[in-house]
Amino acid sequence: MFTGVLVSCMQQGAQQDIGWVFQLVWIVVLVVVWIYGQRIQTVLMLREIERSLKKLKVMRDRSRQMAISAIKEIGKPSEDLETRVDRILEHVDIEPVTLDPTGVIRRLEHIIDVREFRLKDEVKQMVPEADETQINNLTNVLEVAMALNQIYKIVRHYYLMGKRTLSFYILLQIQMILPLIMRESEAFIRALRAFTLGQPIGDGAGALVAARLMYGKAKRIIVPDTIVSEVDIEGRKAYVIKAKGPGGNVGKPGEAIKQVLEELNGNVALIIMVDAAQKLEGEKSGEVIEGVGAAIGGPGVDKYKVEEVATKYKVPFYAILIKEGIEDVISTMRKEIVDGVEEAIGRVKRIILEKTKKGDAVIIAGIGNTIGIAQ
Amino acid sequence: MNEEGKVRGAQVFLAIIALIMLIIAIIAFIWEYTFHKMPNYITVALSMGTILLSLYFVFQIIKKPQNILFEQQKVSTVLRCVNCDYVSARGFEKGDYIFKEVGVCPRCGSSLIVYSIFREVNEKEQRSE
Repeated sequence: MFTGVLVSCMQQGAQQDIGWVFQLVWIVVLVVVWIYGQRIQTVLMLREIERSLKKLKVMRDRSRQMAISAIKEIGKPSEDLETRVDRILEHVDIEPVTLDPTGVIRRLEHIIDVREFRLKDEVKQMVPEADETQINNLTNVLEVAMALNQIYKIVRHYYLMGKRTLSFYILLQIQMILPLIMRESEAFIRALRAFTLGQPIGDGAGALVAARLMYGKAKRIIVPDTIVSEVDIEGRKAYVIKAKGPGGNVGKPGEAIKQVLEELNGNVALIIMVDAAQKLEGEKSGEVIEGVGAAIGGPGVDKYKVEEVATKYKVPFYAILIKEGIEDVISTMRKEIVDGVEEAIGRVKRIILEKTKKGDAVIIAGIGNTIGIAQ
Repeated sequence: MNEEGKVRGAQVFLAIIALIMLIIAIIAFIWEYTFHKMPNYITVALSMGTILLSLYFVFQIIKKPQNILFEQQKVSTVLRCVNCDYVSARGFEKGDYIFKEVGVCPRCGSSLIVYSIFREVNEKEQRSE
């Protein structure tokens, strides 16, 4: 009996000890989390950014390799091809000074022109036997590789700075936008395939609308890389504008609209611009919406020109937008967007019928990269 | 060893640790039920937790890595006659572009052009929208 009581007491004592140990462990954990909570979170954030950084590095390297392969496929480039490509990938554009905003658009346009000329010139030097379409496509491929290189370097910068200082707030900045950065980078890597093969991309929806309208009609180059065609639509004279395809090219739609308006002394009843627009989450790809204003993306040079000239001649300007996700804009065109293009053509015709009368002149500009879309 | 090789090596190492943990947990679990009439709930809970955690790790490691970025996409080219309503579709071929003349219409002998080029969206992509 005595032994039984002793064993029972020992068991009770052991259970109490275990209870104390658990309590002690909880207190220690609480203190550690209280003191080092942010540090632990910082380390976890570092790990997350590191994983994304590794993925970005793979994308960057793959894009570089694809650019080199695409160049090699077209011609017999010089021996220092890789050095030359690496030099291009490190290329930077310095924005014009905005302390004195007067003439900033003109200066920005000049920088963009110089950049484009330089890139195309580099490609021509690497593959002198390439035709215009191939040069444009290769320029697009290099631009994508440049973008991925830049993204990788910026994320790496924040990662290393955060790692060095263990600053929660430095890492927080990059961690908050990391999902968006990754989404954009994935879109860029998809774009590479489209640009290498010369497939139409989502951004070309506007250009495809214009191409459908001008197919089979006479065309002329109105400004570099941009064409215009005079098309009869329901008794109205439509000046349809798009970038010259099928090479990867956005042209100068703003300057082209300005030129046409100047040629006609402003006697234009309507300007309609068709472009791809970023959809909001929950909206459907290929959905078509209408609005007013200059539907031209990019740095703002073309948009400014259209707004200026339309205001000068008091010409109303309408926008038709084909909605698509960020990952669709630069990847091969989706079926839904092709369907959206057909609907947009119908809307263009409807607006012309509703807002103009027979004999009027209208301008229809299909905005976007015309890769894989001839005319 | 390149970056991919290092990652693979680390994954194999983790998989071995997870498997060892799994075996120990299963043994502890069986031991409790075989040799003790009264199950020690703490040990059982810990064993179950370890088994589930190990299974999760093993599943994550052996799972095929997502390679959506570099996967081949199905791209179709739609051909259309400029004269009649003949339409046909085929896979995209390098050099295809919209409005490219690709032959003659088998029905009326007029020009056959590339009318549209588009990619098929997979289910996963559609679901993520």
